[in-house]
Amino acid sequence: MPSLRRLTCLVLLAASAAAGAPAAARADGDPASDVLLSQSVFYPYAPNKVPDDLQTALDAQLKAAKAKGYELKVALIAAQTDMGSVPQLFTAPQKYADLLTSEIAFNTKPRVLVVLPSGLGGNNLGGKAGDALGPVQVDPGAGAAGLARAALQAIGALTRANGTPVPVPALASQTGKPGDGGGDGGGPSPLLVFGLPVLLVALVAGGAILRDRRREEDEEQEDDGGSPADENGGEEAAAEDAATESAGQDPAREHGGPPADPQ
Amino acid sequence: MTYDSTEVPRAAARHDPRVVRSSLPRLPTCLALALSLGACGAGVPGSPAPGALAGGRVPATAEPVSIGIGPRLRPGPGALPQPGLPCRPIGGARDERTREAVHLELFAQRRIVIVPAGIGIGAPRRTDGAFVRGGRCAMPLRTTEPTGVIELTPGTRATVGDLFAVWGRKLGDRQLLSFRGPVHAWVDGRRDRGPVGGIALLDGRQIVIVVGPPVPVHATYAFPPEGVSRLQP
Repeated sequence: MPSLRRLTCLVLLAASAAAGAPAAARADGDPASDVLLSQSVFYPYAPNKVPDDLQTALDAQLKAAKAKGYELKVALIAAQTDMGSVPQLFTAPQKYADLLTSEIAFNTKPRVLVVLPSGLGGNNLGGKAGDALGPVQVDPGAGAAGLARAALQAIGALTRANGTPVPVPALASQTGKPGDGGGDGGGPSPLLVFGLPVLLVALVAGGAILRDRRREEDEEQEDDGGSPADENGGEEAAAEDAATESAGQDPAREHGGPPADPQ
Repeated sequence: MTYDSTEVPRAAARHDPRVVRSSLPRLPTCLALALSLGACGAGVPGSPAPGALAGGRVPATAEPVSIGIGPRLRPGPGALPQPGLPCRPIGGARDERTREAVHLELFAQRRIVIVPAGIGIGAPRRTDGAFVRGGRCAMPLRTTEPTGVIELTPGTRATVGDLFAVWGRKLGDRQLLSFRGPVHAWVDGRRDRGPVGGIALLDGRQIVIVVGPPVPVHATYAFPPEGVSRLQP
């Protein structure tokens, strides 16, 4: 029953293709494969820029590894837009490493390491690669800089396991956030991250000081004979103060302070 | 002749023999393949799988396709012939980060053909690894990286034929570069049966041109949000 078999086969293939298409991504289309023909590292596109100092360190480390006979191609993938036609592999580092290796292999066995926020993948990295890469973690919150740091650590571990160790730069062990290292990591500005809480604290403190000063002024006026607005007494005024504060009104207006517009 | 997306014969794409035709594997192989395909997809939560084969069609082959080697499969960027498009000095406002781009994939004899960096950029070119960073001048359509991304100055009206003219390479319905045979094209995953040189280079398009045995065809390309242009004066 060849026709039945063909039909069954088509149904199975169609169903599995509908369930998920990554395995269908078997041709050109990811930029890293083309770029890695001419250089050792594929860096992510803007805005996920790897800081310059980390790029310099990674390039130098790979050069040192190559000089010791351990040539390696590294792809740093920070976003789906770094993957061209195969963004569906963004959460599947090893599947992407397999695809990349098959694209650039052509009868060779290139050493390939891919670093994605979801983890590492690779091929032809040596018999002890699994153990060597075990401790290497990618900090997914550290952006492109985190990918580069993981790559530096991974290359150090791989070359060590291969008997051709190259030093791991100190930059690799920094635990920074996007934007650290002098480059544009693509994350929120440090000014925003650290400056905003400081500003909020300063505003709250300033508000408290202002309120205390006004309370002192009110008490002084009360001592001097008071005003119609103060007839409710200090405690009620304080309660009203709190109520108007929570309602977002200006307590100074409620308590007979100077109007915003004297005219 | 220029095509736009509405002129692509969409209905015909589903029945294109070059894509669908293949010797079907035996049932056990087919079952294993189907299971593996499903397993792969299960690990990609929330992914719209934009790189999937067009229209959910069955892949003609699930075998990997490698990048070719040698000058036929890795042609250079050419010497910039002058087909009538202007080549302007780099550094003006129009060289700010490019906003429009097309992705072009070329296949010959089941190998990936590299679309090189430097097409549409006048020599002497300034290179940095795989990228072209500058040159004597730049045309409204050009490449700065070898990824198949064709950059377009916004407002440029050009075709695949124009690109090959700028590149200085041959393209026809029976020739792609130095490879002879029927040439087939897909635009955004749909088979385009018009003259291949007439396909319009429109922003965001994914164009695949094949000579020789069929290959899987990607329907979309995820372009970098800030463009790829790295030209510097």
